[in-house]
Amino acid sequence: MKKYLLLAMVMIMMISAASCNRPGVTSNEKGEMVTLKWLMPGPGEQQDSDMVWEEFNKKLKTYPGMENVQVDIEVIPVADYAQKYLLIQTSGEKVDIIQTYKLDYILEARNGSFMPLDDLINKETPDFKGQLPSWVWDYGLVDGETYIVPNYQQMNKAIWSVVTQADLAGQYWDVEKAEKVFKSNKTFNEECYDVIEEYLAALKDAGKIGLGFTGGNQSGKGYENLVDQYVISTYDDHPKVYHHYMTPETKLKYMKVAEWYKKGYIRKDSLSAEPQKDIGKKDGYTVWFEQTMEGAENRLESKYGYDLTVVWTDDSYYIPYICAAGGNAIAAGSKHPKEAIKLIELMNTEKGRELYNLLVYGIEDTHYKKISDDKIETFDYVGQSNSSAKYGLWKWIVGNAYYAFDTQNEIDGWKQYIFKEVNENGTGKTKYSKLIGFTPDLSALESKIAQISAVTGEYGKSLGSGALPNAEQIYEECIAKLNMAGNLEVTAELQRQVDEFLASKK
Amino acid sequence: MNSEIAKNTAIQKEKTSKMNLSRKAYVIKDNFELFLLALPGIILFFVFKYMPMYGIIIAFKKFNPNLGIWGSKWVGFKNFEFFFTSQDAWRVTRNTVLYSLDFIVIGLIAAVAIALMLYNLRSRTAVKVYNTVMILPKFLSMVLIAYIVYAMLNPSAGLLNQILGVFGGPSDIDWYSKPEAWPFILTIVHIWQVVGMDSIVYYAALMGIDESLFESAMIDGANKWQQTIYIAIPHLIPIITITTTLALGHIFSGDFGLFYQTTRDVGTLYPTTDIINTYTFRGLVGGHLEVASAVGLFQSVVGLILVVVTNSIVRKINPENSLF
Amino acid sequence: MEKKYSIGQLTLHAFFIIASLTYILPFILLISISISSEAAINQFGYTLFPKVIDFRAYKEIFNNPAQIIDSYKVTVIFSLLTTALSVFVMTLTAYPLSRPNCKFKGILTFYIFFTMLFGGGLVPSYIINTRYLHLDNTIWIYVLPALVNAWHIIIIRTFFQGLPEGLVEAAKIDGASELRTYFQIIMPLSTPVISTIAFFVIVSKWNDWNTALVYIRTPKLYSLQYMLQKILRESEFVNKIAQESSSSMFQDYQIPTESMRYAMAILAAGPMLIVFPFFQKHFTKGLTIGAIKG
Repeated sequence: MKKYLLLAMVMIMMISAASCNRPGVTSNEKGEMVTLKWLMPGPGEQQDSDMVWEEFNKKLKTYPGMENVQVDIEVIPVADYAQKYLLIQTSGEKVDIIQTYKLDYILEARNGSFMPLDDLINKETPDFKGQLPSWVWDYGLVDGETYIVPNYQQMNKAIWSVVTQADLAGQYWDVEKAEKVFKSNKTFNEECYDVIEEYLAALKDAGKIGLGFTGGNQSGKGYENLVDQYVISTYDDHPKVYHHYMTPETKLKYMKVAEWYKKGYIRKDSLSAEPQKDIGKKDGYTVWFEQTMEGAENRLESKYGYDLTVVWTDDSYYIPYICAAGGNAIAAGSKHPKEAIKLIELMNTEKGRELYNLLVYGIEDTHYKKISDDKIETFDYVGQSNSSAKYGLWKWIVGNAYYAFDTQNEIDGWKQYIFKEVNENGTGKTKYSKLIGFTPDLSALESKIAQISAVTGEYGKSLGSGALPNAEQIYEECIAKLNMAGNLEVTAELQRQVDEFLASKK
Repeated sequence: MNSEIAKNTAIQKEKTSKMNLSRKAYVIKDNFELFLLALPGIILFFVFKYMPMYGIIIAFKKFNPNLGIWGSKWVGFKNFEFFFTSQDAWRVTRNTVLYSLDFIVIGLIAAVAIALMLYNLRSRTAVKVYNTVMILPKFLSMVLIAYIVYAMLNPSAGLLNQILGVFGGPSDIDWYSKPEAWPFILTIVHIWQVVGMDSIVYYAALMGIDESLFESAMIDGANKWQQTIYIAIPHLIPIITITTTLALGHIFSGDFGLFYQTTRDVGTLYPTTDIINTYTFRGLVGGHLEVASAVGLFQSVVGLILVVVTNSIVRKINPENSLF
Repeated sequence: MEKKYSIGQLTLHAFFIIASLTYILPFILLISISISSEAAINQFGYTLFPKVIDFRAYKEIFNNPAQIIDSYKVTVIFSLLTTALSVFVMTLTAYPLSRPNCKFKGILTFYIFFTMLFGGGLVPSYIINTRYLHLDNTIWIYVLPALVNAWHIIIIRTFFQGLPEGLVEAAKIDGASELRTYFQIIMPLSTPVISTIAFFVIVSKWNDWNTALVYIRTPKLYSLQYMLQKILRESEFVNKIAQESSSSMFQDYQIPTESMRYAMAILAAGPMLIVFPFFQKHFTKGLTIGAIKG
């Protein structure tokens, strides 16, 4: 009896809970209103999302051509984005604009999920193409046709520089020499390791080795990511494709850490440890790597709280062929491509600047304080917003990060530096990948790639830790397994496609 | 005289046939009522389990969300290539099956033992407390459990190494580089994790034993041990048969979280800890729904065959204990 | 009558106390970490008793109390609802399976059991649940698909089979229909199994975060576990990205501290542990005898 009473009570409660509508999007009036549905990854829906989006829609009406347009934005938590997108597609839900971060946009374009954009842009937003560098547009090409409007932001490949405690470096290391060695070598070779080893040996002798050395992706110097686990060399005129374990530098890395482990330069529990947790602790690692850009010293020092020495391993920048952030695409089935492309244009160009910042940062004085014309101070978060903030989207998802306000997290002049000096090669030191616009097609080799993936997962961490006593043997075993899983065919096919692409560009 | 007998026989026959008829009517009536009782369940299963089953064909297609499940291209057994042509297929299958069998047997012994022990406790409060404590792991995510294991097995600061050191053994063993230790480690962790909940089922079953049986046994001079073996355990046989049969259906599958998180995904341990589920996960990092579906289908088919076979064997021994 | 504290009893208690320690100690560790200050954790690692107490983790989680209250509310509602309805439907379904005179029990058992092994996967379920049944983004998506569970039904059936034949026979002789037999005789005797299954269901629903991940778009309807998991998944994701090269995008992302993760675990688990003894109460012996004798 009690149970049935409970049931009745619960049902009453449930009925009231279930009948909730999403506020913020007004219903269509007179059928003239065009509603665009925009799907993007981010921190998920936040406390003030509806409030900001209502304001956004109000402001949107003031832009020419957008008087009848409103936008229904959905921000999906980034960790779930790929899966959610798959489900939305399969259930046939109607969307108009899709941001492609963490989606395989090449596959989606080939599968027919996206609308080709070249004609649309030429017709509806003819000035758009001129607003972004042409190589940025090239990122959005799939098989020669534009499918996404890439998010223009910091594009360069990370420089993995060596970081160490300033007081130790001052005493035990010839930092200038190290920097010279790093920068003069095209890849991270034996000489580079030797100069680090000098330091480690000195530390060990002095009893100050701490947790020792931990690596980053230093072996990636001179290479860039091609596809999944494959890289391609970039330091010479004949780019060569390798599985990323099989470059000479990677092998060198594995052999070196094994050697250093035996010499005591690496922590004993490195096999199962999580390096991320201890990086930066004052009595943690004494030599580690960080991804660096201009101003790295300040940023890291304020993060960790003590003086650091950052030794740059490169002084040129490299713009890779993979556009990490993806871009905004228009769904193939969208009924409002005109309005959609116009909205995307607003998010990526000067004329939509105010609107873009509204969407990214929220409402002035509620979510941030304006410090100067282009600088603000965000309230609930520093840097990137997260799900606990009242409001904040990620500028490199929404549109062109160049037009976003600088926050208290960026050093003065940061944006100009990144976009003008680095991206657009103001310093002359930027190199661009020859492969921008290349879209590989490996559908015939899918099961081999999956098997290769499985093998890679088995060896990467252990070899990287240095804790294996018979590292060379294990390494050979790994290579043999990779080849058996089809590595040679995949490498050959990728090389063939790359060569074909490069030849066609000439 | 003959006509009397004939008339009586006729009347008897009529009565019997009337009774047969009414018995048949009772059977039909009973079955109809039983069917009504089962109807809500039947409908729910149909809507939520059977209707979506057409998705199994994803295993045979190249899934393109824009074309939907039906519209996507048929590729036959191509999706099975990943697993069946892989050089590790044997290793991971062997591991999966061995662990499943190991967990079934040892898990059963542990759960039944705990249930019996709880059953024999006089103090009701104690039973409640112990039971509550033992189900704690059910509320911890695998990540947290893996962390606890790490705190024990950490080569530098782990509890286990410290204890070994105290007893004069080596105190810096790197457990994460010793694949041979892990079948034991994983079994202990798994049992620790599930025995609380699993024992509840057997404990509830024990609740159904008629107390008078124990009383008469005691009068006959049986001690606790004999009472357990001759009364309690036989009462549990039906439920044990069922849970074991059902567990065999999942023999080609394993708890992904346990094998992935607890081992910290350290590759050196794969020879003894890599199972079908973790292997597939590693290979399909980019998505590939259809391959995962194919592997899943394979696991299910094998499981089904095993259950059907086991069930037929059980049916021959004692039809009452069989699943169906 | 055995003495309450005989040697046998003491041995049992000793065993259980030691076993319990292996469960309690990690749990205490978790609580301790959740109330330790981050600095202390960095310095001393994980300790059984916090070196520096700091409730910041809990404060941060409760930063947006409206959200937590909503999630707690939703979770309590659908957990109770599912449990009540589910137990009802499943015992109804299990009963015919246990009756020897049921002609279709073999088929029905197989029909139910088959679903344990075979399923279409997420995609077709999603299509059916959203496109045809319109359950997405409502509280019913938590409830309806979870109402029947093959394993539970089979357990209940086994329990019913264990009840003495004599009861049903007696009822039949008195002229009771199957329906009456079920409600008036079988059900009252089934408290142990009903409590057991009810507990399994409520735990399963309480821990459910997958449903919300897939089907819920409105934060008001997020289940408690999903809300907590969301934060954890976000930080796991960011950690993973941080190890990949050429990504500056998440460089200064603030991830939840260790103590916050453990605080979330405690918040999620807590209520169930309080609720369990309530179910435990019904694991009582000896009802059967009374029924036969009476």
